[in-house]
Amino acid sequence: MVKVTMKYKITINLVAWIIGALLLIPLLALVMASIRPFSEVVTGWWKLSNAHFTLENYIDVIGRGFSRHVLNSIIIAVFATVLPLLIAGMAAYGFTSFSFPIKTMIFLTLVAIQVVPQQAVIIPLLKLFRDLGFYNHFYGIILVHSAFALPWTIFFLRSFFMTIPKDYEEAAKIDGLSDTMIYFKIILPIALPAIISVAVVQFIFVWQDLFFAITLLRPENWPASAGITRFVSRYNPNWGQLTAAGVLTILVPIVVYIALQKYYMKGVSGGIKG
Amino acid sequence: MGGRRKYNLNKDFFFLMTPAFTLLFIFIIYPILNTFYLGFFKWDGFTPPEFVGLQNYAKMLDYSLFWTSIKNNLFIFMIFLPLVTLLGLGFAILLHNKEVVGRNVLRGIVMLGMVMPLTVVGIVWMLLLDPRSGIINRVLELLGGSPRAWIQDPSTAIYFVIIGSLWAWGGFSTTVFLAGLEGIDKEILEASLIDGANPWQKFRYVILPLLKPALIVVVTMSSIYILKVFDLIFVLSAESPPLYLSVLAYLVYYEAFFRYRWGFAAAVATFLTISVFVFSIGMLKRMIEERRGY
Repeated sequence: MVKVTMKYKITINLVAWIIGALLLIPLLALVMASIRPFSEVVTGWWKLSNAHFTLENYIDVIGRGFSRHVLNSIIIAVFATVLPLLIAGMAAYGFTSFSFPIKTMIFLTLVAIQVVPQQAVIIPLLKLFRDLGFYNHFYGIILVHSAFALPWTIFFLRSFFMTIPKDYEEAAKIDGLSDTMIYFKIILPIALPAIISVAVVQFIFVWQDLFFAITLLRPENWPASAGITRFVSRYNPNWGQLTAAGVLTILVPIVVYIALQKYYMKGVSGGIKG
Repeated sequence: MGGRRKYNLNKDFFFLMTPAFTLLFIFIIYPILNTFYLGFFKWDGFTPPEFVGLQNYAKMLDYSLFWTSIKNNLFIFMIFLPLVTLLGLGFAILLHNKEVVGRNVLRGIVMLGMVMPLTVVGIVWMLLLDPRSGIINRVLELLGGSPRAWIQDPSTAIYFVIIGSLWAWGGFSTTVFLAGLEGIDKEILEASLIDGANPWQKFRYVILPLLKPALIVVVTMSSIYILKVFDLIFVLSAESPPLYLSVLAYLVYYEAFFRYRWGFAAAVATFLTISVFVFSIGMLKRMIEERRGY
């Protein structure tokens, strides 16, 4: 009996870890190709005999201005995370603690616009951006990302707020605090874990964005996710530079993900996010 | 939740709600309605729009690139959806097994594709599928096949989009199924064993029905995700627009930015939006039912 269990245990671990290793190959390829000279990548990044390691590809892409794209990503993603969270938290609290006319209608609208593709807004947005002078400015794209974050963040935070016992609020009301003060002084600190979950998902999501970046900004202001496509060639790719730019592009989101994995998982499975 | 006051509006209510609804209105709700409206106009984005009724929609039906896009969307959809569901379910079952060592590390690995920008995912798979430097062609050669220019050949390039999307989105379906499995009551499973169910019966008649909510989420979210596919096609657009790989989302971009047919692009965008809504109706209804009354 013990022997059968042992065999089962080994088999199932083998299967799981072979799949895990296969899933890691893309990432391994990215890193390996980025730290080896072009001549070695062409003959196979996986061949380790006679391997040379170099940072030349990184120096090249940074020399060609890629660090600017990473900086653009950081600016856009940070502001497009903080701003919607501030606003969504307030609105989510408004939803939990007030009843008001057409509440259900507004709620249905919020649910429905969660699935709207970015293409559904781009043409009027371009005209609006031209008229307002928002085109090619970070604040423009930050506002758009913030708006798109609101439906699901309001949803997510609202369901968290509803789990907070009403006693807190009632005690604060007796002390004469206004609803706004109750939100900022009492609800917000309690909701910190939920806020972090939403922040991690939103930060990574904005970091990944391509469509708004290429349509609302000029190439020099593109974030890394879009800027990297300037290095691509379908027929004659320079793998070293492409993969070095790739590593620089994923560095920040991967670190954020690893550091805050628990919160990210909660955010992904709690909010509906696509 | 009982005893809620009726319409307890005050100054704070408006202070809390106004910023969110201003942003939502200006940057989402107004633009969606305006896109729908512009779909009835002929417009290059600069000169005054000219009302043409349903002409843009009629033109769509006669436009071969529109049909190419539909065909690509459907082909990608029909291969991607069953694969992402089955692979996600399979891997979730494997990761749910207590005997597997290092489950959290494996969980982290599956999610990696999901935190990377799709443009980088595209570049990685371009490298893996490359005729000269790609490991996949080398493996095929070892197995007796011949190397192919997967991406450069228009007849196989679509598989690049599918495999890239699978690697990027597989983490989502795995995570949702895993959460579903963890939510299943242990006592129900033990009861089924006492009743003499074999592993297959246990899975088919006990676990699968209980996973239905997770299945609905995975199928709906994956459908929406893959209908909006764009980035992996854009990655290939350095030399020229890869029109043989065009999908609806790409067509909107192409018509607006390469041909300056903004009215027509708006009509295509409207069509895409409606398609996405059709696929999400089931889940939206469920979400609404769950939250009704608040």
